[in-house]
Amino acid sequence: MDVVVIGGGVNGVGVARDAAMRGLKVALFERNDIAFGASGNSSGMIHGGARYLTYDPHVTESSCRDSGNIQAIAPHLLFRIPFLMPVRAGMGKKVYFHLLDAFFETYDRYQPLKRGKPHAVLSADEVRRLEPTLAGDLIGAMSWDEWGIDGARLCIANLKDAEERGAKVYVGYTVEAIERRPVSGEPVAVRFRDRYTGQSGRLTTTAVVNATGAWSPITVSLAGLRPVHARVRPGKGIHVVYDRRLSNYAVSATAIDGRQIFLEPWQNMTIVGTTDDDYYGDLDDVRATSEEVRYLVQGVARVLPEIRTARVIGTYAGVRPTLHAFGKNEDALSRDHQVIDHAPHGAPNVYSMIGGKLASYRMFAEEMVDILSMRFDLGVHGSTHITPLPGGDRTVDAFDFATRTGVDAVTARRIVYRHGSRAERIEERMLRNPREKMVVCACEPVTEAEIRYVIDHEAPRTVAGVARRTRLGLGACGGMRCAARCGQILAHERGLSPGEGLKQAVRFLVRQARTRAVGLGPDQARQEALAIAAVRAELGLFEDRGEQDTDANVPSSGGAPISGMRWT
Amino acid sequence: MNSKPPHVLVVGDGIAGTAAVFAALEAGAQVTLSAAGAGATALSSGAVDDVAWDEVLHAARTSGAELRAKALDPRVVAFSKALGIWRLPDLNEPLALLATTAGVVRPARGHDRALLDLSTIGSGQVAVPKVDRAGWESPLLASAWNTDGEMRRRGISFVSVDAALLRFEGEDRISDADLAARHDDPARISWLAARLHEALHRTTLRPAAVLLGPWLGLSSPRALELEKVLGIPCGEALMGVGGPAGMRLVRARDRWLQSVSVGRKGRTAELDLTRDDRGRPIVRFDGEDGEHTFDSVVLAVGGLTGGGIVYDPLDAQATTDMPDRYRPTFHLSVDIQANSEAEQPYFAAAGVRIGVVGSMFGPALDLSAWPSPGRLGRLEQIGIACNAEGRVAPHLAAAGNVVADRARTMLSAVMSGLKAGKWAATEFEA
Repeated sequence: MDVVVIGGGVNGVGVARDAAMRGLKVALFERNDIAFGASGNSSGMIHGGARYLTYDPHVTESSCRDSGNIQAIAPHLLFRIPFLMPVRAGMGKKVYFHLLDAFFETYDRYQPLKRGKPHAVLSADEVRRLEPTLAGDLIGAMSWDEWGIDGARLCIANLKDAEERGAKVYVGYTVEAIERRPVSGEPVAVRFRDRYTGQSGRLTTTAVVNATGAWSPITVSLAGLRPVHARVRPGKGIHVVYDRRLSNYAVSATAIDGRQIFLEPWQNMTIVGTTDDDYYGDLDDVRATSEEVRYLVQGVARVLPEIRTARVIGTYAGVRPTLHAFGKNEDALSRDHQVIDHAPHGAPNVYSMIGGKLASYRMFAEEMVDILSMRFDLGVHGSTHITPLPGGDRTVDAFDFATRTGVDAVTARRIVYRHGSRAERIEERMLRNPREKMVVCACEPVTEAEIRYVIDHEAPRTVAGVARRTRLGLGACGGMRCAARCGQILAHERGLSPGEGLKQAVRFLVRQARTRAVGLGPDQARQEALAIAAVRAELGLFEDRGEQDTDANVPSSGGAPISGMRWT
Repeated sequence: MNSKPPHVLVVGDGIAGTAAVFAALEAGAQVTLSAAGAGATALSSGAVDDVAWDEVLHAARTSGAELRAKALDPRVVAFSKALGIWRLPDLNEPLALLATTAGVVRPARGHDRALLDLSTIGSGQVAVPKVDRAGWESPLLASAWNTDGEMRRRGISFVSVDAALLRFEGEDRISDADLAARHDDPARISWLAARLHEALHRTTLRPAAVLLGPWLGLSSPRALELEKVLGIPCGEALMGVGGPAGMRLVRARDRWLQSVSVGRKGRTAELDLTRDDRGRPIVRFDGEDGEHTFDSVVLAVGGLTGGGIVYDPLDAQATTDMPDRYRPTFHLSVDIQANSEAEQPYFAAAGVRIGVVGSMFGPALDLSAWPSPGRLGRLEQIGIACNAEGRVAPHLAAAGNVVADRARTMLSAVMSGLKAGKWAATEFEA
């Protein structure tokens, strides 16, 4: 290999894609799953970062610019999220309102970069008409424009493209050591192990890119470097998920400590986010706590009291790999990114990518590959900003899709959203085997054809991996009806024993239940007790389901080895 | 002594409440039953367990013993006979084996008669008809059941067979319970039997049994009629929650209640132990002005699932940053006033009394809500503390899922109901 990329987050798959496009031989290793960490647990926006205008304006500029690029290469994955910032009456609020107006006027200058609309100043009456449930004596609101995205799908699209351009992809493989030459310090090979089967291997390489986000200090240690050489300030962020769209606009609110938080209609649900706290726990098992949920709900309830009675269906948490600084508040840390060249640390051709944002991943990846390009003397410029991602090359009409396949329009729309023009490959499956049109997860909805396609082409290794790619089981039912069936399908496609599929289903259900439990209200507690009864009655709670809930927590005993993996 | 029989109020008409009515009537009491609506019983799966089945399986695997039925209290057997829809194997008979729609084969102490008991068919092939309904991927389910060790040991295998068992447009999309209701029609069940007969004859298969989804009748188990036509055991697979088995149980209960003499009331709103000079409960029902006095009350209102216990974190009602006042996070759906602290029903879990919790926002459910190895989940564990007879306070007993630290199985709910009903009819003043 020319380059081994470690980390299947958005930066890692972005680098793998760009490097593969420029003709490098690439291998990508991911320990848990694609988009397992911060990339798949973000606020689901490629927002321009208006917040950073005051102290990091170039982050705003790069975010907006790259957001526009992402839109051009993956238009199917984007959806508009108009934001609303209500302003309450009070001392000095009129002046504040004008300042806000001026602030957003500055932001407007960046909006064309991402095809955003200029901000609007809304009167109190207009705000009430748009969002009648907003509380408080309002003098008006600012509205501005952002883009939503499914972060996991963005990662998968990059991964697909890299793979189709020759990159080797190892999902569920942990790198155990980065071997270097004794004198020059250059990398020779990586040693790796399949976390599901225990099989290990070695792959030679010229360069190594560490794109492991919050795991970065661990990863450089595997090359014998000191953890401080790839230092990040790990910031945990959690989100609370509600069962439906509770508002038309995303609403920004203030938490008790003055931080900006928000409620956002996202796909077919609502997300409330986010926190930002230093995190020193296990990165493979990051979960929201009930305190964090209450912190968010308390803040949002001041502008939208109805949030208290809305139905929480889950929470998720991720750890941002922010640039390290000592003595700053988490919130004030720079969202900028940087490539660390480890040559000064005695390890030439080893690089760490630190920091960054979902919105500017492409630019960050390009910067990284520009460095590789110089190193390998490629003389090729990056073209990831003009080459469509898989599925983003043209649009597929969801209604036509529905007519051709006979699935209902909602199902069609969701398939087209997730897969863009690649939806046609799922269509082929449906036409070949009409039984696969059957909806497995009704909440989303997800059909059997999509599950089988995803297992075949997108390298999930667990039920949780399928859920990450299709949103199966992430809706209101918590996977009660679909996890077991997904496990059966996964086992069937992968040649595993059905028992292994069921174990994975139980593991997924228990993990989901734990993320739900932190936000339980009166009615949900009832449903939760019922869910426990149902799992007890038909699946049983496996003795070995384990306390650790990472995707790859697969017991070696009893589990047949994964065979028929197309991806290794 | 009173010459008049004691008047017992049973609150809750789930399985525990029904068992309490049964025992109280048997002990010669006059019984009134108050019900608020469907709870956990109506959602039950059709498996009739005494202890959690995964524990049964684990114990059998560790000891190498066969899966055989343990002894049942004769009162439980009598109650089951009265209901008339369960099959409970006798002592030392093989435990029932049920196939679940999640692809598992599990033991059970007994079962709804519509469910196929795999322990009764010896060895051979079980036909699993392909039916175009979500949740019934018959080839996948068959291959999942085929990997079960117990099935292999017995030489039972599952084979997916083609069959057209849906009669009308849209039946691929209606709910399981709706399809089950359509099979209540005798003409429809004969149609189904004929289609199955045809389908099996098209194959070279000579199956030992036929396994279908949870669709065989809502008002009573219709599987037996299929068996008559096909001459082999036929039955449903088990669905964890919300299948027709729960509805059949509710119908069977209603039939039995109609056959006995029981007064019926709506939801019990308030229960006052303070005003009667003999400490008897004074009860007010929803939608009624008057008050009623009873000699004793059995609370069988259900746990969290049944709605008898309400989890109510304070922040759910908070208007601003803080709740208006403190109130325990768990409470009963029935208001109870007691004479003394000692008589006030109290919540307990894991044998520990739960009073004021150390947070305005309730316990840390994220850590305790779900079960973990060797520990029940907090949501299943919490309930009212009472003694082995079900006694909570003089004149007041509890039964079923409202009782703390009780295994959440059907037969243990029945047993607790039988005990509480007996106590309420005889020893209630103790």
